[in-house]
Amino acid sequence: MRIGVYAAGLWTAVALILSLTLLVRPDVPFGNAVLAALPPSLLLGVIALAARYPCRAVPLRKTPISRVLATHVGTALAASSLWVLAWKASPDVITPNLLLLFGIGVVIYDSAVTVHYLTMELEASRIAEEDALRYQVLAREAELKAFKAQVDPHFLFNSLNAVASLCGSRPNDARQMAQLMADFFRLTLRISSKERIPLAEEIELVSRYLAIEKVRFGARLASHIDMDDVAGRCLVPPLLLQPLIENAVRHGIASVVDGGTIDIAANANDGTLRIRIENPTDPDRPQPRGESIGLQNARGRLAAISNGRASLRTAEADGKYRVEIELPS
Amino acid sequence: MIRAILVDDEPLARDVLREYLAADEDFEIVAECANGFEAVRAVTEHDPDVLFLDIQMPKLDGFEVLELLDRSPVIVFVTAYDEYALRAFEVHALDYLLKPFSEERFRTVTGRIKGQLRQPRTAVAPLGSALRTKPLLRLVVRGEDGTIQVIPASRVDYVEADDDSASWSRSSIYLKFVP
Repeated sequence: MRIGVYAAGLWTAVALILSLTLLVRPDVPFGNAVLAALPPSLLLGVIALAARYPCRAVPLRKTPISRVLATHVGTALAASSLWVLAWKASPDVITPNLLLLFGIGVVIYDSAVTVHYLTMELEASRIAEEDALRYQVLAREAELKAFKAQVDPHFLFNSLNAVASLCGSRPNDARQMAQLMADFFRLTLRISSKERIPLAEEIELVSRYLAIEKVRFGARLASHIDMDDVAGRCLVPPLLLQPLIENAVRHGIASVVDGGTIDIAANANDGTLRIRIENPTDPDRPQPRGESIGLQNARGRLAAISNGRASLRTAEADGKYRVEIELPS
Repeated sequence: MIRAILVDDEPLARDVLREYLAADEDFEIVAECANGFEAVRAVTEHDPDVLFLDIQMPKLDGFEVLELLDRSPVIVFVTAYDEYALRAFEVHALDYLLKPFSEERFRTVTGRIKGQLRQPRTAVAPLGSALRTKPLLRLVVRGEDGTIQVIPASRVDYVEADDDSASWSRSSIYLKFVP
């Protein structure tokens, strides 16, 4: 508001100075000249300030240039006409050069338009900078949380319990289970230090995770992975899917007496990578309060890598829970 | 003979309990259950002395199973989660085994079970009401025939007192409860 008053004052002053130097007849006493020039200058100052609204209505980057020109030529003619009409109230102080009078109105109005566009650009770039910073902070936080959430300790304890159990009855299977766990943790360590990995590697990690959970859950857990080659080559942040698959096991399969299949599908076309995870769930289970940490993390990281162009949606219907991710590939 | 029931949704977790118990001739396993429903039915049917009980299971968790029992066997929780230890204490569980556990640790538990069962059995009331420390998330109803209904609290429209019985409705289903 105060800035608006200053700006209007500034444009008024410019109009006043130009009027006094170029328009007012030299023989008019200075005091009278100022008195005569002040009302039209004030009017033009306010009009120049109001030029912000047509500028907002036709932003440079989003409007065809022809429309921008048409808008501002139209408004400039109108503004300058008002300015000329305002001068008509005191015809005896002023030079009879109507063209010059009209031209000055147009020039002042158009410089106001230029200044408005400049400040709009500055504002836009400041917001973009703030956004970039906010995404950076989000990314950092998400990385930290992802690192902490990498391995659910209960997954480790339950798997170790399975190993202990197998040692008694099927020592060879116990060895194999130990091997699966080692493979999984080794791959987790290797990829978690990277910025981006091909989706195929993340899916490999997920498969190893599921192989361990299958030993624990037996026939209750099946999985199906369907990923096309293009999708496999798309780059994603490491450990983006693993926590979601962990949720699918912990809150999905584990809550259903007969278990079921975790379906993972990934495809890429038109520059978009789409990933879908679907698992059976018990619709009557106690509803958790708010989103799981895994889901929050995934959201945070997606926002961080794509400046808000990625999306994550969840849906639950007919005993199925689904997570759908879309991100630019 | 001490009659035991094993409750765990993971077959391998039951395997290790079975293996350790088999080495102690004082114990006999009368049933194995993979979820809370089966556990409630098996306890009613077999009236065991001791229940080895997992906590996180489909449909009914370990604590909800206890709420539904009308007998009070010795309870030993077996779980990978240490955060339920306090609640386990509140429901008078004898012990709390954290997965994975050593055979030695298991033997101290079987020793304590034997000690407990040698005591004259004090009449311990079924736990039901002692467990109500948290807001209800779901209602579990056991029918006279042993069938179990789980009703999420969010789907209960109303509960109505009706002389000496209570009735409540879940969408279109209407249940009547007679004490």
